[in-house]
Amino acid sequence: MTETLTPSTETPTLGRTRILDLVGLVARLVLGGVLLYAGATKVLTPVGSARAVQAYQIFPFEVAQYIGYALPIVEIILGVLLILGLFTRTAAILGTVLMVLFIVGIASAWARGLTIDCGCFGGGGEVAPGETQYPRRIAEDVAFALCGLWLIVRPRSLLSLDRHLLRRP
Amino acid sequence: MGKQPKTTSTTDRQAKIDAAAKATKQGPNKILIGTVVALIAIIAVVAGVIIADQSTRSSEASGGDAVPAAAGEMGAGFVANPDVTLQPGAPTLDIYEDFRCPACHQAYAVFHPTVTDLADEGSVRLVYHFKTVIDGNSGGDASLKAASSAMCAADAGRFTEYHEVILDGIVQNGGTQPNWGPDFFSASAEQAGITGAELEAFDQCVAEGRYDGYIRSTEEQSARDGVNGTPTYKLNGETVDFSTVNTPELFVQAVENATE
Repeated sequence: MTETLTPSTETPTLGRTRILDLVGLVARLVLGGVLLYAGATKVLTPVGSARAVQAYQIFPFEVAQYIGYALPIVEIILGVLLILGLFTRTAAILGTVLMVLFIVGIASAWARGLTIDCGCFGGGGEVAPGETQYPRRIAEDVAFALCGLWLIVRPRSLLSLDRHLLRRP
Repeated sequence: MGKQPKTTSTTDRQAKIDAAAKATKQGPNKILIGTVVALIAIIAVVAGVIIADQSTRSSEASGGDAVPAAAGEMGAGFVANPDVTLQPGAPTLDIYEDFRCPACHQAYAVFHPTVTDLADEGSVRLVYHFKTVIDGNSGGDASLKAASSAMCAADAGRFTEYHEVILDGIVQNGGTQPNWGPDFFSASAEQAGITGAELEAFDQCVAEGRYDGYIRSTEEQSARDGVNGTPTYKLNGETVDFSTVNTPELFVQAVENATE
């Protein structure tokens, strides 16, 4: 009896779990990939990264400079952890917090009438008023934050070190 | 077995066996790995910030720290028409420019003849603030070296000509940039009319990077003043909006509007 029931009750659940795990993998690769890429474009040009943060005119000049130096490295570390699926939930929480801060920063620059490049992937500083791309950048960051949110709620995913190294479920 | 509750099934027992197996054969220690990863992350961030800070400071120490006569002090802009008698109420036109920046070349192509006329007739006080945005974003030091060499040309009284030789060359080549080496600077200086002993002095000035410190100071000061992008043109401190002021005629109009 149980043996005949097993396939019919478990297979759909297993299938659903695998799909959710696959979504987790995609969320990890999207958020992790964009963080890694964003960090990589800036890490070798710390002065440019500092200027990009300074252009937001949110933090004092020197504070913004050190944020600019540190941010690409933080992005790379979180990106690598997410791609590997190691400490997924912690990395996702920090990655999501970053995205929310980026959204706040961009919205603030927009609201104050600054015309700057977001400096997300290198670049940064003032641009022509028609080249700011604020709505697009915010929309992208919202999408990345949603990937993070998914992983905070359900960190389980396919092909993760959490599962294969740390033996988490 | 008799003491076990009736609900205990084979799966429950299997779960307990699994749990027991996990407890004894935990595999890697999560806390240890977590601590190691966190430590590596902290060290990477701190080390990265220190390296970035040190490399910026050590590059700041290189080159000379002479101040061009037409600037007066570190951080101040370079006045391109100091000898022209200004017309009453003439505004200051501040141009924030990077020799390597393609958008600067485009703005130059559109506005430069007009800017030169306005500066020559004393309708504006023309002040350049050289920036090194491209160096910062893409690496290298050509923005710095080119601007520094322009100050060497100013020592020979040929700033305007030298600036034009380089930027006209880029515009005529469809935006293709030169190699920005000492030979290029020297050849440009010669084209700008710097010859003989003056050319030797120019080459020496470029070789020692005499004005590197000054160009770093204008980059830094303009960033502190909130100018992080190039080109930025300001009339009496007000940024010229290129989306509306997009022809020489409209630019002349903007200058007239800013004249008091």
